[in-house]
Amino acid sequence: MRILTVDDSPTIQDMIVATLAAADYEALTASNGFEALKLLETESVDLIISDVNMIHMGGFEFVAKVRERPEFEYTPILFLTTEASDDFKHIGREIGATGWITKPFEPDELIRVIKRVMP
Amino acid sequence: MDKLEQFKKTFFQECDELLGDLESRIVALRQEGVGAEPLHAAFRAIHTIKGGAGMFGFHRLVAFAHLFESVLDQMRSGHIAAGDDAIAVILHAADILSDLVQAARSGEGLPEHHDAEAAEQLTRLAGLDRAPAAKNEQEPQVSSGPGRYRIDFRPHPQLLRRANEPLLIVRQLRELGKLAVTADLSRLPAFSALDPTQAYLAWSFELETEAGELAVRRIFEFVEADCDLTIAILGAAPAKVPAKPAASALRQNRRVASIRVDLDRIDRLVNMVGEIAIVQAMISQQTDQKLAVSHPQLVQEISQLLQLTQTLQDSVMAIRAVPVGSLFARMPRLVRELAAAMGKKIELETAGEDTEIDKTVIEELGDPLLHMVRNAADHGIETTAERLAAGKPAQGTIRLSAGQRGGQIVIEIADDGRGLDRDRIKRKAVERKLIPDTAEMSDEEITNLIFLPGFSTAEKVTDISGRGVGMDVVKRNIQKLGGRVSFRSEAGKGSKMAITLPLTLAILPGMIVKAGRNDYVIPLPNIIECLQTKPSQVNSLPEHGEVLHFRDGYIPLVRLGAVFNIRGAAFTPNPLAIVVDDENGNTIAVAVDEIAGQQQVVIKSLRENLDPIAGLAGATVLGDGKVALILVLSELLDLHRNRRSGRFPLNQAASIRPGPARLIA
Repeated sequence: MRILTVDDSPTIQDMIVATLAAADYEALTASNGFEALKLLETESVDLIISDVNMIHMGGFEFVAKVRERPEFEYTPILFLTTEASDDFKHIGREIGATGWITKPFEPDELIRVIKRVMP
Repeated sequence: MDKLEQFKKTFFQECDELLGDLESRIVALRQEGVGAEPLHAAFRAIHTIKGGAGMFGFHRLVAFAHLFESVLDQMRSGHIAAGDDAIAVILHAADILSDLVQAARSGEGLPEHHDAEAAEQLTRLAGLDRAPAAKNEQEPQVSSGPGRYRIDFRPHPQLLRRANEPLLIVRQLRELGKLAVTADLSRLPAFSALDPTQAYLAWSFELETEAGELAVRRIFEFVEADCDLTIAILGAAPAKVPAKPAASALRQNRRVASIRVDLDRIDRLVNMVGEIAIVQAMISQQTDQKLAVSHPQLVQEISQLLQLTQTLQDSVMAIRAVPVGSLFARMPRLVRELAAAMGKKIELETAGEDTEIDKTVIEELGDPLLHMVRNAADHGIETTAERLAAGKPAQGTIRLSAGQRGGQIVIEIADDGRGLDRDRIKRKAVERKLIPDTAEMSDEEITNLIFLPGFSTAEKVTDISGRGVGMDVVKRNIQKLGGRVSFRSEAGKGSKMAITLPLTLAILPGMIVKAGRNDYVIPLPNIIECLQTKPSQVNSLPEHGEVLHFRDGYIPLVRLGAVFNIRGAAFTPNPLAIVVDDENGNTIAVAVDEIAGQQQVVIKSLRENLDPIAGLAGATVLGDGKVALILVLSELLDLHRNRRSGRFPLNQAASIRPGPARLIA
């Protein structure tokens, strides 16, 4: 299964990729929304994990754009966020995100959440 | 390096970047207000640091970053204004944050109270001490420990819309313990009416688990709002969320095409391009008249290739170029602090922030620049009273500017202060025994006294890092970069210090000379004249050794063959002499056996293979494949004198035997 991680923090990216690889997932990365959208033009993925606070194109904008593409209508998308406030959850839903992962996270937690939305 | 250490390394590198930009963003925030990009960028930076720190369990850092973030967040939402006080608190917090990051990095603890003041200031600013923390939702009382739960899960039709999958949810439930499932198919329509994008099924579960209710609830957290969920025993309904326009979260951000690249990769690229330049020179050497006649097409194409390579080289060198503005960023604050500390009024002007310099040079420039600005504020600008008494405006100005001039970068620090008091300088130099008190000196010579080691005003050793730094150290550091420092001053009016730097560290225009069988490179910009001397011009004086009669004066004649003990070097009474400016204000003549030509020289560092050698800085490979050593003119005179008096500096080998060799790149 292929997972795309979109985050402008190399620290977070490294850790996610390592965790995914250890769980035998194939990991793709992008550091911002533009890069990710471009990547999604040619690559298919089974899950997208995206940070919320990113430079140039925020996570919400990115996910909204992803949902506009028919081939990604039903792709599970998880936000990476430090606080899952009610506001955040609501906006995330409106945008079309499937769920979220709170930072900081344990590797096990990450995998468990992933398994909740992707087989 | 184990995985965790590698992650930490990445994290701290990221912190360095973010912290580096933070201060200038805060200053920009002050000027541009809370609605503009700098505040958002600053917020994101703190947010990112907090996030990463949490991953590694740096709790103190997380806590502080969280406070910091709250303040910035409140600024974003307009609850705090970006006034002077707030900015001062934030600037201080940025420093403390940096300290905490460094402490996390080194593993050394900081005293308990280190961040206490800043934290308190942030707390007050954010109003967190007044209002009780606003809670977003009522925390339901949950049970923990082993329990039995009855769970009714009734998805709404649109639950599937966001790619949630009940099957996966059920699977996770089952992992918690013993699960009994009853499915409710009552809403399932006839197959022909089935809409695969809608959810029709519902379930009742009985779960025996030790995981606690919270764990059970969490499994449903993504679909809370898309289903009817009851968990028996406590059965709280999911909290209702207020409707908020989603548009407020979508911000239009500038589209900037850029990519983050490892500095290592760029260095490798620069190296490779340097190698290409060397091969290019080799090819050049081989194309002579005969080849032009026998293979005109080839020679023309080689010439084209050479031109393309030159363009490639220029472009690659430009990649590492960084606007000098990043250096200027911390200056306004420094000047503000200095002015406040000294009770003076000082304004800092900057110009030419866009001028680009090689990144490696920028890193070396930081400290010298800081020191010079400090000097200008400390010794240059007078107190308000003094200024008014002198008929000057009460506010002093320090002007920091950068620009390109004739293939070099020039950075100037000018002030309209009291200028150099030449008498005082001279007196001080005599006091410190740097010159005999009978010395007759020109104005310029007196000015240059400030560059002598030991001259620095030891009265105030308040360097930012606690080290005493003198102008001599600054000058040496600049010279090591291949640059020069100059100082002009007018008593009562002001002073101007100028730093000139080569556009790039890695390439040098040089003259190739030979002594014996060895090749050396003399930096072209330093050459005043080349001449074939006559025996009558070369004299030997008891105190000074050989001197050359040059333009009405006598200058030291330094024989390369002697200074480097070169076997086979000629010792003719009328050598070829290259008259150069040695960067220390001396004009000297370098005697060589032959002048081999001029070329752009790609500097290769010797540091990895050899200890520092006096008089030499790096090497290069010439077109014919031979290695040439690059001379450090400022050290030649010392070598010459030491040799005469029999003194050898510790790191100078008694004889150097470089010979024709291939440089192993």
